[in-house]
Amino acid sequence: MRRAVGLSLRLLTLTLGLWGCDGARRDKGAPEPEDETCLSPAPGPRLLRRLTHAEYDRSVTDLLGQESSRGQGFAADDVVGGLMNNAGALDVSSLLADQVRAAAEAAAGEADLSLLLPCDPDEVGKTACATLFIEDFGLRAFRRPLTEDDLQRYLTLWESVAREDGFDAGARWVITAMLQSPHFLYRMELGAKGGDGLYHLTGWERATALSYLFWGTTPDDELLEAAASGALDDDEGLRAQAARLAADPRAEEVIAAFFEDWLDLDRLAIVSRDTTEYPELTTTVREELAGETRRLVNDLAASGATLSDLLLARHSFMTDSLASYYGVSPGTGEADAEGFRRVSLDGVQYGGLLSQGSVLTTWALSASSSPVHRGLLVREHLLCQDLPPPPSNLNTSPPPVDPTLSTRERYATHATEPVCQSCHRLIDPIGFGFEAYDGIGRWRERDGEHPIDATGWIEGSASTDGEFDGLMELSALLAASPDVQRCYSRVWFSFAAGLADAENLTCDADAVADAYAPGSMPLTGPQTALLASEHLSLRAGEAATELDTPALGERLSLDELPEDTGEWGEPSSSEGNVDFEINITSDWSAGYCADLIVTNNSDLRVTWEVRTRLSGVPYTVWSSKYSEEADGTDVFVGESWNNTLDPGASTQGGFCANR
Amino acid sequence: MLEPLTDWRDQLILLDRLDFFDADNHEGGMAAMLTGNGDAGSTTKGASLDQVIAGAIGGGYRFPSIELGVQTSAWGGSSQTRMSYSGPGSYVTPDDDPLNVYTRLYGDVLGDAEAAALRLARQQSVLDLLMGEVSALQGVIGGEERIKLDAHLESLRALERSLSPSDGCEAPLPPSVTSSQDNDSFPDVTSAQIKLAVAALACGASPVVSLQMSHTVSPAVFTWLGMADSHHSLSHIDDSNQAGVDEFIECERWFAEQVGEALGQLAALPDPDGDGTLLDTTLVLWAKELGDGRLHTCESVPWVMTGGGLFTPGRWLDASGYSQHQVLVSICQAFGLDLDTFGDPSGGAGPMGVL
Repeated sequence: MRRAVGLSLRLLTLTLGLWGCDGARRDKGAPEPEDETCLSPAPGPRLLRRLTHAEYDRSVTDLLGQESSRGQGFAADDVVGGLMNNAGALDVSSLLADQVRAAAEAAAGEADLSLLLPCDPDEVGKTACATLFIEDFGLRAFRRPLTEDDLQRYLTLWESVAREDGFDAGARWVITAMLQSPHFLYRMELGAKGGDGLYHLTGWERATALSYLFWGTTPDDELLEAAASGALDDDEGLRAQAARLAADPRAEEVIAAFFEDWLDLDRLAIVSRDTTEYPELTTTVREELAGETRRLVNDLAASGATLSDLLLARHSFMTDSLASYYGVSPGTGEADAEGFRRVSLDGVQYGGLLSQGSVLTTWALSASSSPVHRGLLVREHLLCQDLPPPPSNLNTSPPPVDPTLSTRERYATHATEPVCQSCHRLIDPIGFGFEAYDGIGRWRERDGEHPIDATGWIEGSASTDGEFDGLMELSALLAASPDVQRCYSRVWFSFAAGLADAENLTCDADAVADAYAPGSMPLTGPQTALLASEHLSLRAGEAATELDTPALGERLSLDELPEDTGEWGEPSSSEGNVDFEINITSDWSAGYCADLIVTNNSDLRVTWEVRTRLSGVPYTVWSSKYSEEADGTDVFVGESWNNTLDPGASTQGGFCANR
Repeated sequence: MLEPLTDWRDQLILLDRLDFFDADNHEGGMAAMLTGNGDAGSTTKGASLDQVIAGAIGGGYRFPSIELGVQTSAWGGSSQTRMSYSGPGSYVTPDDDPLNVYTRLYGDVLGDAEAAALRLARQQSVLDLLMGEVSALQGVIGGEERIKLDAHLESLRALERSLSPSDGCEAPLPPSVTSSQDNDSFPDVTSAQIKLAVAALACGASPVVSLQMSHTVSPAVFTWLGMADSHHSLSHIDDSNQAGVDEFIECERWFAEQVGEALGQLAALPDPDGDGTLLDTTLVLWAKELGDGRLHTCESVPWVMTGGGLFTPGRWLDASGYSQHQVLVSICQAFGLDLDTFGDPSGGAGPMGVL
């Protein structure tokens, strides 16, 4: 089941005719957000956000202290609104469930238990040490303390293995299960219900949100301690931790990932390029181009630089071989571990994000530049204005390469044919500004034998509209544009919240952008502002369906550790044709939730039925069906998939009840 | 283009001049091709042909269906890159990695039968625990997120079924493809996936297998045929560039060769449940999403299928006047499904008469 939350990003709502973009032109700039949307409080939805594959890998790496890259091979997720981390689209398909299982088994098998065990089982006892290990590893894997119930579940698993294969094998199967657990795979943004009827993220959930927002991985010990101490419950504590995370080199991963997602730079490694026309674009060059962009955005973000600074940067970071690829003088400073040095771009034809080979190569054709692709890059990704695809029954083939014409001249029909012109006037004139750069991002004096004409203009985005000659002037227009600043902020908010085009989020994103003069917002502005956003801390439930349950993550306190000699987990009572246990998982004055564990201890396969007297009346039941008989007997039977039990088998359901 | 299938002429049905109903363009064609654009209220509930058939006949198998791909996913999942749907807008993601498919089909080839049984028991304990956790979470949150948990639970149940011992499936040598996403590995991945698809059918692991080669707007460059431009670029070559048009035809011929390879492997194996060869009892459908790539239309789309013991093969059929919906209805009815429309009912009721 895949669902998309929201539609797509756009600043302008394009009113489209039967075909084309005739309604797109506006006399005013980007519209003010509608007042009624932005005046209301803006809590976000309660969410389960499955880790992205990159977040999974980083989290497993941090949990086990060993490099994990298995997530890279997981089934690709869906793209929504140009981003691949939409909460609605991140689900667990049967294919992914199997891949996560295989990865968990392999990672647990390789894990160095000496790094993970907080105790010596020979000293404190097997069961006691397993308890400590489960509590400790569970806290880090689930990003919250385990409940009694959690602990019992994993202790049972550990014990069943350890009895046969020893302590370590039991611990490995605990790791295997935890790395597949919904409490690990989903970042919970559920909150606890407050007196205002809204759900407030718990300290543990805030620690998790912060950690994935800045580092893209599981919280470190200091964040977990801050959550435990209540330090994240106020803005001051939240800001202090955010500042720490933002200043750490680990913040680079998320910033780099944002730019890769925003500008589709993750395609750089695989875009096809004609090797006859462009033999210079080797795999190494592609990797170095990606490395150049990562270094520039991180250098500028870390120094507090603005989006304008990025679009107009007069320096970059290149290996010496990459400098020679571009035809610029190599850097003179010290090279980093991968051979990149800071390179000054004064006096050369390169400068700013859009002149980087990573961007220009991603946005080009196999054997030539592409004014259409590069124009769309600016229109859709920097101005957040989506355009419709070309109508069918129209020959949209790129004009054939013709040595007697320049690339620009080959696209002339786009400006003369009305059916083309309605959209392409919003695309090609911007793309022509890139014509001094070839299909792999190198500056060129001529296009074949033709002189370069890189003049163009922007229309249809009034706060940005204008004429330019060449990429530097185009970049200057974009750098000074309030539309681009808003677009950048909106994409960041969507990226960080896992939501596309959510109304409340858009309001917050615009407000953040508009607080700065055009071009003066720091690159990390939206990321930092998310902290103050109600989206981070407040969530609204769906009134009719939402359950009034306590938050996950009540701290478990162990008064004393269990001993190895104890009796382990016998069923407690028996009515109906099976044994069952009712384990209360949470309890508050007006009600409680409980697990119902049913075990068939007979020698026959049974269709089970549990008959008992509960305290209170169930208002929700899962993995079983409930009914009440006239005499008040409460009856549970199984769902179609768990209503029969083989000898020795058990199943689990549960319910919440009002007292 | 179909010359590589000459040897199989007597086994094939060529559906020519098939017009999709109410669909055009890359995305529209991909989405409508096997779903008929059904919504939740349609008889097929937005699912694609493979999923509809799997829902009807796949119940007793380890895998009700298996989805294989060749470099379908570098752009992520979207209406450009997916053809299999479980519901409206809900894609079934194909597995692009033959090594992963191999492991799913045959399990980890480790240790003896006793070790494997023990491992399976442990995996079962973990699955029980996980299903309990997902179920319990369903008590904590409602609305949209609960649907996500329903799907998760369903996935764990499917995983449980697929982990059960694979009777009758003897593991061949694992595929040797190492980098399944490298452009130049395309032929090797294709070859490995075809072998796995046929093996899954032959040993009764699954009754329905789909294989998607690349995706619409394909960036694949057929370097193994000496091409320099991507398949998508070649599909837009204009007629004045004869060399380029010839290259595109050569790419399409290569696809036909792969279909021929699959047919040959099916013909060489016995059907697991009965008489005859696997080819005699398997309906193979080779579907495309566009009729005229240059105009981005879904008119006159060429489809090729085998009879599968359900239709009389060895025919060329003029499909003009029928929609793909009616082809899908015909296939479903041949599989014993009681339905008269597929997807959007305005796409045409009843089967394709001439089929």
